[in-house]
Amino acid sequence: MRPRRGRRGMRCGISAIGGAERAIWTIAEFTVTNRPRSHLGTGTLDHRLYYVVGDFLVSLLIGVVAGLAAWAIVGPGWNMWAAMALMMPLGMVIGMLIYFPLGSRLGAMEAMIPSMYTGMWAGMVVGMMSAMMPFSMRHAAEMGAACGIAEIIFIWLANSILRGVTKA
Amino acid sequence: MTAALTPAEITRAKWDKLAPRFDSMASLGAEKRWKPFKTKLFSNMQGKILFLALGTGLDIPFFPTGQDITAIDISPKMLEEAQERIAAYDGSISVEVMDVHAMPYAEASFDQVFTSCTFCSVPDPVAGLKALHRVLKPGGQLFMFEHTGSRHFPFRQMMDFMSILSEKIGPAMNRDTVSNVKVAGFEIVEVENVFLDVVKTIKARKAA
Repeated sequence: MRPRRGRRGMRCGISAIGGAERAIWTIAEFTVTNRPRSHLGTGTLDHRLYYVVGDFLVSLLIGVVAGLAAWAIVGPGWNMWAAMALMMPLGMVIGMLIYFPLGSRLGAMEAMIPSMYTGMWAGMVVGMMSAMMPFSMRHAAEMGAACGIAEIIFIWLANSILRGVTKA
Repeated sequence: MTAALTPAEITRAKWDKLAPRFDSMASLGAEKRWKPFKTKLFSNMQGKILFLALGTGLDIPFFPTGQDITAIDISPKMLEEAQERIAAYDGSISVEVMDVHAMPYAEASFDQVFTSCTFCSVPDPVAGLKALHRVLKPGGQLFMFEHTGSRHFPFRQMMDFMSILSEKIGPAMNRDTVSNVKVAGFEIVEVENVFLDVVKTIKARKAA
């Protein structure tokens, strides 16, 4: 009986995730159709809730994971510059690896640019700090999360500046 | 000793290999993220239309109904995946396996050409765009939804790095498609940045 309950539980879980996703898509579509100027207009942020929340959470997750990975690898006694140089590409790879499975929901290889950027910064900052002083795991996760939040805000601002129409 | 593959054969092999799992990679996130912009771009469809690189037909649901569209793609496997969506379209779509560099259509055959995430993968983008210029009627329009390289730090450097990897499986991420359109002889009418200056719609025309 236990495995059957487990399968049913898993089905319910998948169904709940599907339902939540459908609900978010409905809100996203509503937002799009009711705000044509804000969404399709020029020089504005992308207001669709699904992507605003999704991009934020992915950036946060990548920041935390890249930060923790850098903390786990680098310790006091490492050369600070070497730690930064090695943790930057590691963070980018972590960003890519996390983004790939989530990308089919959040969209497009282009949206992976912020993810790689978050991983790079979180890896570099936490790697540098870990080389300089003893560091708690919680502190590393918080530092990584802060990098993720700062990076996604930077992307939102850059997007609001760069989006828009240029006529010949 | 086997002969070296041409760029077109390499591109075909790459997309044939990707075809069975392309939808699972692109159909949820990418298509829904860009749906409003593609729908808006495709709403310009009228007259005799060439659609370049139909792929698995993910863009078909965004086409306005009742159009007469000629669609080509270099990959027969991708077009096989597209059959269901082609059949469901309320209009006419005729498809052919074809390389954009070697289109047999006569000069000035089409009123409009549409592309969607295509010129990141065409082996020689300027030659491909020149081929589109040739088959367009004078005054004909080119509508593109493309991802391109960024002009700004740090996105430009990031995309150069990504292209090293992405070109192995499919697209290049760092092409200057707007400049390529101009070099191919088109007049740019409008460029809209959709995501940063990376994903954009490009409207251009062939001189009348």
